[in-house]
Amino acid sequence: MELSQDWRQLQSTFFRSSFPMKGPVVASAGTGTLYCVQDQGVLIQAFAEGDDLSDWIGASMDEVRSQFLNRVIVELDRKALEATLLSSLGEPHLEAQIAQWRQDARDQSVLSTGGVSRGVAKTRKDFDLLDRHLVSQRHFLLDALKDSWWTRVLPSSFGIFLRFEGASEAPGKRDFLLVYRKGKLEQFGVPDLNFMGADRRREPAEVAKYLSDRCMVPVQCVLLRDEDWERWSAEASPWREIAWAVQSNRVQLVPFRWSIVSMLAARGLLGF
Amino acid sequence: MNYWEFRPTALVERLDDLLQKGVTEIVSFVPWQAVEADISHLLTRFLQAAAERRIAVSLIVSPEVGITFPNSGIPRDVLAKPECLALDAENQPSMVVSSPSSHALPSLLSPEFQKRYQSYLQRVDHFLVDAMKRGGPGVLERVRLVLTGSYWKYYRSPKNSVLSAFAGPAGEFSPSAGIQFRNRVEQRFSEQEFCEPSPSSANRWKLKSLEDVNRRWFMQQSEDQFRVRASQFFTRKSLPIPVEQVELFSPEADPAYQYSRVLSHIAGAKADFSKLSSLVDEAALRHSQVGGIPTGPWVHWSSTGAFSSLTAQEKQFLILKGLLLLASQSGGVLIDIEDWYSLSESFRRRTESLARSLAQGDYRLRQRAYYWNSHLWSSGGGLWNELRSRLGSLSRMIASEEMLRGESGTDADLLVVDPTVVFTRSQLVHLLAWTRGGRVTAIPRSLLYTERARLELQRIIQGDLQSQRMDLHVGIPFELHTMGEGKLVVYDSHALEKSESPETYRQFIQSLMGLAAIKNPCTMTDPRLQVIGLEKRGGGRGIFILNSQPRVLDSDVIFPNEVLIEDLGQQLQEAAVEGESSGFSSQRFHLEIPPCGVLPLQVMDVQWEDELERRQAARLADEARAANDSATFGLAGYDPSGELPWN
Repeated sequence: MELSQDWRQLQSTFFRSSFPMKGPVVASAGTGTLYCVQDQGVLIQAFAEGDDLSDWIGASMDEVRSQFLNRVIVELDRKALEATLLSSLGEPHLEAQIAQWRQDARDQSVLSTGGVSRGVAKTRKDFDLLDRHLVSQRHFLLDALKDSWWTRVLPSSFGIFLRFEGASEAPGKRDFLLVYRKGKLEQFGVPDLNFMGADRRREPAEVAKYLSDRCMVPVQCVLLRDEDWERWSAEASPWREIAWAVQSNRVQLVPFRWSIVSMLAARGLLGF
Repeated sequence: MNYWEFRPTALVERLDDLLQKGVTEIVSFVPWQAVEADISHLLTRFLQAAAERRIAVSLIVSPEVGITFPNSGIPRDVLAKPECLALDAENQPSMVVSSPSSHALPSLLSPEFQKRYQSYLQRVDHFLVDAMKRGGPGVLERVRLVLTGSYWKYYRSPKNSVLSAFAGPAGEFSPSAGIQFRNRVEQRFSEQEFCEPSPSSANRWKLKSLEDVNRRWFMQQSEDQFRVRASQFFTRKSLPIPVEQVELFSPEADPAYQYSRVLSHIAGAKADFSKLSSLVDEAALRHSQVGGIPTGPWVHWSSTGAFSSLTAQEKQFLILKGLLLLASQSGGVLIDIEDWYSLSESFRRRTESLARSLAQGDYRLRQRAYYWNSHLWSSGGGLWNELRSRLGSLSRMIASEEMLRGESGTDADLLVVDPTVVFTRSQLVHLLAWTRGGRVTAIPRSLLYTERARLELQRIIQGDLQSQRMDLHVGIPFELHTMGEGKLVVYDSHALEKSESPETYRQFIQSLMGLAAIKNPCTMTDPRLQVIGLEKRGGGRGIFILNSQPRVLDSDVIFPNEVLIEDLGQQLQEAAVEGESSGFSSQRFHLEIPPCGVLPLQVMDVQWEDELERRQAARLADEARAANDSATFGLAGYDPSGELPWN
């Protein structure tokens, strides 16, 4: 059975556990941001990476704020959180659901610093502060395809076929296809190329043509090295390196499209 | 390994690869959606390919949460119908936060859902028949069907679960559940035993004040019925496939982990390891049964859930902890094959040795105390909390007195009955027979006895059966009755409710443990360390000290007697030379446990062993005496002195 959404492969290609986590929350125990769920002023769940805060459950939020003076506290209200979770059920998958939780948390959570509650964010400064502490697990490529000016330039439906060429893997062993329709990631996984002959399967141009016909969307094939992908995936914005890699032919685009190259150059060399 | 994650050609390659690695058994989920969409008969092909390679296959055919399939495999149309969805006590849809998608939970009590579920089972059966037709009966020779507890244990509120995973009442409150609840209550209380002494007596069981008690009973009964029916569906078919019932627990999708999971996601951080670790403990503390047969407890870590974000050290800790707590009770740990091979080879080798020992029954977790609750997934209240905090993995919650009948029932020395349990006469008689075998049973003095049960208890209390009574007050007032080698405690449940003081529970449970002579095998000076004690076949004990903290912990371990300790890790890897002893003898040892470390110790405690043997001998003698007594009553002409001839 070919899965139209292969979560395991998505996880292992884009969110490998060997990739370091991104964002300011990666902190040693006792220093990171505190994320709390409170119900009528009482702490009912707390989370801080590397800390066991279970002893604080049941304490009043005032007590928590006064105890953790040197830490930023992001407080979520239980009822609001439950409403968010229920409303996110309409989203097709967890990544989209997390994006909604994050957005709602940004709009509704209360931020405390230095033991003082700043209330729900209203000013630009508050939102900037919140944005630094509400980070979902992200990947530079998925972010660019979903949340950047690229979405206005790219066609409404398209596919990206990634072929990783590692020293240890046989050609075609590490392929991954992403298909976007109307701005949403609808299909992802290892494409089934068994209907192509073994020779044609090795040819990226043939694969791109075959997948374009099959998925009925234009497909851009990208050939890249496994070690490059691993290194770039650990960074928030590796576009400069990618742009140079395209120029030096370390990354190949099949078919070669000037429009795609200019988009990469704009991100990597001009910084937007 | 899930067969539906592969195309047919890739599936065959994968099986060959696994065979080369020495894998002889595969467990695969069978998601509902995958079965309905399986037009290429991939399940059939998978079974054929596995049979050709002589690989045993276990297929999990119950709907479960935490499967790496959209909506955990539940068909979209089922989730789109409001009448198929489960509701919580606040009339909100019950849901699970899960990867690849969070979803609402269907109601297993909805008639519409049950119809669809039956057609899913039919389709699974169709594929099995198809596999047999294509490849002969040999194809199914190594196939086993596994049924689980499905969604029942997940009908809980995340809010109630923050302090303790199973705190508060669990249950399903959809309109269809409400209708069935009323019908079952009517049906149950129209039984003769509830209509005594007069038919109007049945009304007292339907009072509003007993709504919670009845709801708990209804949820437990519905779950038992659902599981028995699913089992019967396959056993009644003529297919030669064994069907096994297990209790599968997915901590990542549990309501108790819901808020933590959301917070870790919006923080962009890895999962809350300490919370996940505590949920493994919870999985080990509840013992379900189907048709009187205990189910093996299993923990499932999915390949795309919270577990995948943990460090290798944390993963190893959770796997070892799961094995020690669950495989020692005929359960185990279910982990994705890729995750398993991502761990170091030395760890895999050590873990395989341990798992082999546990599977062969060389080490087992002996439960010393049971807590009988009216609903397995609802809170047990203050008494249970105190019992589990004192005994940890030596205590177990059950939801049926049938659990006392099997082999597991012979182990325990103490049974505490929750005040919400409704007693019938037959249950009480059985309980008292179990008590006479040298055990201690604490039952509540409450109004939840049928007239027959009440009279039976009165008869015993008034001394018809050589019962000796003492009135005591330790925490709460209770009566102590000596029954044969055993002791019956009748505690005042109203006094318990009124008190609500932790000290009351502490004193009462302490006195019960004293009566049952239950002691912890050892104590640690650092309470952050957890101890799991397993009994070794043929004498001795394996003591495992677990440090879930991210830092080294120094602690003393104190035994009740002087003991000899050795490194069990070496023995499990069969590296120790037979007869060679390199242990240390003392009553107190200083240990240093690494972060996320598990320290295995082999302990020889002669006094402890002697005491256990004495208790076993006393129990056997009492059981033989009881058998003798029943033979005296039952067989005309039989004389226990053996002096008179039969004829």
